Order: sequence, then C-alpha cells, then structure tokens
Amino acid sequence: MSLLDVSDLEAGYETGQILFGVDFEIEEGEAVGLLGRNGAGKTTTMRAIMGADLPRIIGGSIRYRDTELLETASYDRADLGISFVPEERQLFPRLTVAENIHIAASSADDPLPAEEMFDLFPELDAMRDRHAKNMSGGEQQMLAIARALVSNPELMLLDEPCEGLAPQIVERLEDVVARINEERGVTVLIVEQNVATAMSIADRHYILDEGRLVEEVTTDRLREDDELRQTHLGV
Amino acid sequence: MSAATLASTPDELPSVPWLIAGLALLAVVIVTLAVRPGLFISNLVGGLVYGMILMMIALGLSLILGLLGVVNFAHGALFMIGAYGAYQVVALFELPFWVALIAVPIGVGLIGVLMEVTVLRRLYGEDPLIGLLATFGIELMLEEATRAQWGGTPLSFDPPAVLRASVQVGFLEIATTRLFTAAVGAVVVVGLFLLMYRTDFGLSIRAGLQDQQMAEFLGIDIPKRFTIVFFLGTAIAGLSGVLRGAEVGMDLGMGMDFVILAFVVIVVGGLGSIFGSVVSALLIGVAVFVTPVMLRAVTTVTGLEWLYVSGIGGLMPFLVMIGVLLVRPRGLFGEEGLLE
Repeated sequence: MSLLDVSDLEAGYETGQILFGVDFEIEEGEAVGLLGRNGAGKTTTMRAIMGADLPRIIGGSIRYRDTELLETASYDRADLGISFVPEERQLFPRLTVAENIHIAASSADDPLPAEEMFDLFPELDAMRDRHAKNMSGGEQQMLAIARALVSNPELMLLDEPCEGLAPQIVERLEDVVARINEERGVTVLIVEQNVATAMSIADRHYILDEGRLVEEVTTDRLREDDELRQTHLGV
Repeated sequence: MSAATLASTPDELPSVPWLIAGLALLAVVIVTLAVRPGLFISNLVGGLVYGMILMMIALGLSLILGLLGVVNFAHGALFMIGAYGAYQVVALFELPFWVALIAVPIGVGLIGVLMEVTVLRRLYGEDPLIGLLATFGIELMLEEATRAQWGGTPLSFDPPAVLRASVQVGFLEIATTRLFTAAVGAVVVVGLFLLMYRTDFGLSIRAGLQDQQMAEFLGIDIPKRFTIVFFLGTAIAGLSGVLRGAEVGMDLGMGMDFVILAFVVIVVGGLGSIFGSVVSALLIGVAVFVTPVMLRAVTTVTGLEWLYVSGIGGLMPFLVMIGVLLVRPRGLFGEEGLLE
C-alpha cells in the first residue's frame, strides 16, 4: 500500500475550479517532485493534502496509509506524521527562532531534539533569540525546514522551498532536503518551478498541466527529454 | 561622527512641545499636592483600582479580539453578570463572598463558552462587523435577562468584614476592598503573562494569533484553544464583575459603560500587547480620578473658575485616546499590522 494516495482530486477557489481529477501515489521513503507551470495546480494540491481552509474540495480522495485525509481535521493530519513547508514559509514572524522550532516539537508525539536542527543549520544556532521576521530569506527557509523536520515526520511536503533564494543557498537546501530523504528515510513531496532543484532531490516526478496530471517521469527522462520539458514546463 | 551626536537623534530627545506639556503637568501635580494632598493621593489610589478593573476587562477582550478576530461586545454584559452573580450568591444564597469569588467567574466563563460554541464559532473568518452585531445582540439579550432576573434597580451586597475595613498607609486610609481588587488584578495580570509567555499553551496561542492556519498545520488544535481562550477571557470579566460589585454595587448600565472603556484601553495600549493594556488601563483609571482634583486645585490657586470643567473625569478616557491616536495610531505598545 502506498503512503499517500491522491485519487480523482477536484478542488478550487471561488474564482473557479483548479484541479480536475488529479491522481498520484507516493511510496514510503520516496522523494517525488510535483512539477508544472504557474497555475497548474501544484500549490492547490499541497494545500488540499494539508487541509487548508482553501481550496474547497469538490471531490475525490486523499488517503494517507489507512486514513482518509479529507475526513480528518487539518491539525490531526500533522499527528499522522505529515509536515509542511509552505510557499512563503509562513513562519511565526514575532516568535523567535527557538520558539518557532519549539512549537512544532511541542505539538508532535515523538519530536526530534531541537539541538539536531541547530546541528543541521548552524546559522540558526547563532540566532536562536531572533524574531523570524528579522531574518534573511535563506535563513527563514532554513527555519521553515527545521520547523517541519523537528516533528519527526514520515512525509514532508515542500512548496517551492528554493524560490527567490541565492544559488549557493539553493544548493545548500537541495543537499539538506536530499539528506533528510536519504539518511532519515523521510518521504518527500516537493513542488518546484525550478526543475533543476526538483531533479536534484526527487527520483521521479508528476507533471501537472491545467489541473490535470499529464505525465509521470523519472529524473533521467526529465533531464533528457527536452520536448517534454518544453511542452509542459516551458523550460 | 562622535557618539554624542549619534545619540542625539530626534527620536531620543523629547521635542519642545512635549517638554512644555510634561513640565506643565508636573507643575499642576505639584500645585494639587500642595493644595489638596489627601484628596489627590486617595483619588490616585482610587484611579489605580478603577484602572485594575478596566485592565482585567480589557485583557480578556483583547485576548479574544486578537485570537478570534471577534469584537466581543457582550464582554461588558458578562462583566455585569459577574457582579449580579456575586449578589445572587452572597445576598440571596447567603453563601460566603469567597465562594462567589471562585464560582461566579467559572459560571461566567461557561456562559462565554456557550456563546462561543453556539454563535461565534460560526463567524470566524467572516466580516468583523457580523461578529460585532452578533455579540451586540447577545449583550442586549443578557442585559434584558439580567433585568428580568434581578430587576432594574441598582443593587449591592455586603462584602465580608475583612473587605469592609480600611488600613492606614502613612496619613492615608485605604479601603481593603480597593487593596484586594488591586491584588487580584495584579495576580491576574502576572498569571496571564506567565501563561502566555512561559508555557507551551501560551506559545501555541501566540502562534495562533500570528498565523492560525500554520499553527493548525503543525498539529495545534486551534478550535479547542479558541474555546479555552474564550473561557479565560470571559471568566476574567466575571471576576472583575465580582470585585466591582463588592466595591460599588451593580446596575444594568455597568456592562455597556465598562466595555466601551475597555475598548478605549485596548486602542490606547495597542492591540496584542498585555503590557500595553496594563499601562493604558492604569493611565486611564488615574486620569479619570485625578483630573477633576487637579483642575479644582488649579482653579483654587488661579481663581480662573472657567478652567474647571464639570464631568471632565468621564471625558478623560476619550481625550487620552484622541491624544494617543494623534501621535501614535497603533497605540502605545501596539505591534504593527496586527489587525491588517
């Protein structure tokens, strides 16, 4: 049985339907990319998995192991072992670095020690008492990943973690996320506009186009098939 | 550039008008102390105690407004029910005041929870105006229910003997009810501070204030936290009602009077700041009580009778609010953009 099984998912906003029957599965321990152009429905899919207030779910199902997520409160999904690094990070701006990490740890059943997060990101160690709003974009992203990891999740969802960051930070984060997957065995689902980042982390990818799943490809094929990338991703 | 020039930025030195205003205030205080020392000090104490009551109501209101985004107009009615509840327990059930002090806030908190679960829960995320109208409706219902239960005439009950006494502090005699109110207020504010800033529960509330959705993504049961916060906020309103009832009695207008003043306290102190509400409530409490005495002293000394404005005390909260908002629209200690 797969870890996450999204089937025939339809969802949208007041302005209109975005997802028109999305199907995909993720096995335990995998790292999977969810790719597509702007507006293809990537973030909508992520938010549907996490149970955000919006999008509104129109139909379909999202199963996590034996649990139907669409019938589970958003705050109970975290307890199942799912953690989330949202687009724009959504740190608590007026909590300190240490508090941002502690709050995620304190609401988890079996958290990792906070110190492990500071070992992973020594930059954060030096700014434990700084408010999240006073950090650079790269530091904020590290904190967002640390906050998602400290709860010791089985599945980590990352929504464009490298957007707008300097190349050397991007490289660093790619390496950390790949290690979270390989060394800790955390299953990763990553949404990226930046195909290179997705390829460096994930082994296979689902491609969304206009709210429908159009391709399932391995990283090797994605790298080699210029036409595929051009058609669906525009790169 | 030397350190001295760096330090003398305009932010750090009071400007001339501020200096003049400060000196004028100081002069008036000195004049008042010279002319009517006893009245000044006793009104100062009275103002601080009144400020403590305002503070407790404002803290509950501010907590609910910050987390739930609901302007709970019914907060005043819950304060009033706290006072009438104490009357019920002490005068009608003839139970000790201390029973009322514990049981009434819990009862009022439960009424608050009932309100939250049945009405307000449906309004989160809606236009704040809808919450305001709904709670205004609840305020009116509770007020009429109070009239039906206890009648329209003002009531009072006898507090226990220990709270009817007074203690001598220097040349000043202070009623023990006032000291008790001040002490309970201090316990509430310290307790609330410790809860919010020293516990995981408080951390989760502060996180929820900043980004509710993300707090839920981390596994925090926000709806349950809302209910607990509502209980706390309204129970504190009930507690202040009991204290106010013991000091001056109760009437049907007290809820509306105090809820409006509590809003003023929040606006002046800055939404989201416990410290701001405390400072602002004490400031406003003192302004209400001390301004008339000061003006009276000034007219006595100068002979300018027109300087004395009768009823100036009741105007002070609004004058303070206008003054603060003109200078600092987010309030004294408000965090930028909390309600935006």
